[in-house]
Amino acid sequence: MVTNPISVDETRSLAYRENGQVHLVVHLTDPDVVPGDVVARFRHDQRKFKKPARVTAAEGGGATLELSVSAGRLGRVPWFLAVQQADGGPFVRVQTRVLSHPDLPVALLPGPPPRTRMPAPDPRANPAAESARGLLRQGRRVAGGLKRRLRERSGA
Amino acid sequence: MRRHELLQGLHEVLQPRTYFEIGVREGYSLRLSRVPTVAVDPFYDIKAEIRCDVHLVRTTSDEFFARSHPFAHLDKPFVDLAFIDGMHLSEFALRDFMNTERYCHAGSVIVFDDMLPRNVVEAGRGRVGSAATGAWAGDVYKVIESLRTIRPDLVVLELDTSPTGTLMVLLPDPDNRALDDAYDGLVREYVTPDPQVLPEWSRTRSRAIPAEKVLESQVWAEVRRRRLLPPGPARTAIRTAYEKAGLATPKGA
Repeated sequence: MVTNPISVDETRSLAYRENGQVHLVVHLTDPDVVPGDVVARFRHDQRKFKKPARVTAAEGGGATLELSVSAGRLGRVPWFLAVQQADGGPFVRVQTRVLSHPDLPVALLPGPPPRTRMPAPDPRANPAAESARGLLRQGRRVAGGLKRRLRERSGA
Repeated sequence: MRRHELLQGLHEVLQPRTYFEIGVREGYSLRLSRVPTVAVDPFYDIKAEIRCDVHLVRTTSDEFFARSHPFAHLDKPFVDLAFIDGMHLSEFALRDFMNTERYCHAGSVIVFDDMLPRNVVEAGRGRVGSAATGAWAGDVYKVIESLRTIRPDLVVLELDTSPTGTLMVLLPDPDNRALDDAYDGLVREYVTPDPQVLPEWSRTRSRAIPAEKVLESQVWAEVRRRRLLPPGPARTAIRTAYEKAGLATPKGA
């Protein structure tokens, strides 16, 4: 049974949408993957869900993992994929991710995700927007001061 | 002419206000930019000095475009010149084009690298054989026929650059959704096992025009002026300018 992450041949893998479903055809190059019914697990951060899937022997070696999932369930974020080959067995990472943003074509992202040591920096402040915000803040302060003085006068 | 000479020439004649690049690697094309720039590559390993105001993004291009405001680095989110040199697989290149076009206008120019492989090994989806250590284009050339068939409104020009040819796409239209409708069918056509069937026009470059001819055209000053117009009049004026300059998709292509 495979326990290390399962490598993927991206040249023979694809994802496409049809009738509201995202179909994945993922070519697994690991020779120890056994054909048969499996459970696929999608994971993004703490969110997980499972779907039934099928592994078949592929022409020319390796195996093909095929499954479908509702496009709506994938939202706008990339999902890691793992498969469980036997009941109660471990889920083993498949080295590809799927991204099905509703405004963009569906993408299968092969290989390990890129890593950075720090989060992406915020975009620089737009000077025009900043000065408009500053003017607004100043206007609110002036209006607040006027209101206060009017209240004080009417109370006096 | 080498592809980086073409890019340098385009920076000079088009005078882009913004530049966008997919596939940075060592930064040899990024170093040509002097304008606000966004550049994406999940594994960039820059060896060149860079002299521009750049947001260098370490992610895949698909994840980049899935961000809420991918071009937040730019004062206004539009791209004047784009260079697509990411994954050498046709479905990735097509997605990069579709996603980039949403941030373009009629006067934008989109250049693809590696569009004219010279032999079947260079055109393979897998980087094997002599392509493992030498030039490798992949099967991104398949995108040419898709663009010409599905998007006849675009001007699609193959350019004879070394080593593996380039494609220049003019008159992008951010509102056109024809490729979105076609994508899921195209991806199933694209993903076929090697060896790929390499078209004769790629092998011989029979449809490719010299990059020098494009750069020497007088049209670029007109494009620079007309891109300042509102979108509708800009598109009409720029299309007319390209037609007068003889920059049109080759007949029968």
